[in-house]
Amino acid sequence: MKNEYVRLLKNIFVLGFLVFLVVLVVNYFMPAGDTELTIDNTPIHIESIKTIAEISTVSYKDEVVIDTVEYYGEFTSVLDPDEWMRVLNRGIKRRLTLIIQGEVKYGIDLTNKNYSVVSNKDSIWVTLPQPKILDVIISPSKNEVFQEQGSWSDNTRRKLEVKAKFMIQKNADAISLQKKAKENTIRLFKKLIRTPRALIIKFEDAK
Amino acid sequence: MIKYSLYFAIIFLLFGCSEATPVPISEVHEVRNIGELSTTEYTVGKIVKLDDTAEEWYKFGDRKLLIHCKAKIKAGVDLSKLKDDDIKVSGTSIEITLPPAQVTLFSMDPNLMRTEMESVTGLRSNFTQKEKNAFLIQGEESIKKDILETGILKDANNNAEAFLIDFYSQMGFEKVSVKRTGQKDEK
Repeated sequence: MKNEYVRLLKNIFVLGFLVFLVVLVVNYFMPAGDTELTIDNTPIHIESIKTIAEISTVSYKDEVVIDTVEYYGEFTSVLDPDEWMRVLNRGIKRRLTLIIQGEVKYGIDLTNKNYSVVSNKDSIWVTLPQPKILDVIISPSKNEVFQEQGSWSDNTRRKLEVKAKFMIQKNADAISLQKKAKENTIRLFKKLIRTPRALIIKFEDAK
Repeated sequence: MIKYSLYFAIIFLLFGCSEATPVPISEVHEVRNIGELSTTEYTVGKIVKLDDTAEEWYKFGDRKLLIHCKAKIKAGVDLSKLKDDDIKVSGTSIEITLPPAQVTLFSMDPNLMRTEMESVTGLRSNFTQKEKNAFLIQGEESIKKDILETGILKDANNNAEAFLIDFYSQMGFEKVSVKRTGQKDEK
């Protein structure tokens, strides 16, 4: 009779342990799906409002891939479970790969009324500031976490995003969009200024 | 030792032949001609709040997250939508009919985001970066929806009108009239 109790207790213990393992797997190894969770509704607060006058004339859209990898160190022992993961993961300990889409806007900034218009009976001269990069735009909806292996901090992800933003700006600079921005600005101002007089649009000298 | 070596060799053989995930290479870019006059810029902040309290019996523990983020939003009018008959000149008078104001830029700079609190208890898994990005996307959608309630489009319309009156006055027009077409979202 005593032996039967012991066996029953053993069985209960084994079953309990198996249930615990299942719970552990469900909780830890199968995280909740992204779509299941919804953020709480919190209000936005306005931090600043500015009056500006920026005319964007060229938009450049680009997509960059940014990747950070950490490899395993020296081989230690075949008995080390961590070394078994080395084989499974092709020697890569951690990896985070992001695909970032961004947009660069070129144009002229007239916020400080830094333009001049001089006219006489026959002609109108409009002097505008040099076109420049007005904005480099990235946002979470245009970011994709392509691969996430291992645990990564928010700071690392943000650093990668900042690097991607810089790469997009550099790519835009490489194809000299200032010239195109100037042409489009002239076209736009000619559309805005309907006059029988001669219209001369020029840009301030580049510094 | 021989036994472990055998296990190691089998695993190596099983997984050694498949391809490692390649990093995608992208060289796609698009250059577009635009003509947007942005006249107002709002900077807004929002707390992305997630409370993943376990409701299922088999889940032990909670996951909570607070991320503070900022968004820069610009609004103005798209001058490339102006048609020939939208600008009427008569002597020293000019009448311009503007298209409705719209959001011209929405940006969430990663430098202006910070995780205020992250707590995972019990047997729950940690938040992944993929999950966090998904929450930030929800925050972005929420800001885009709420920003239209702040009056940004009304400000953009008023500022565009003021800018054009000033611009055409400098050109020598004595009477500048700016008309607006119907604005659906203006508050």
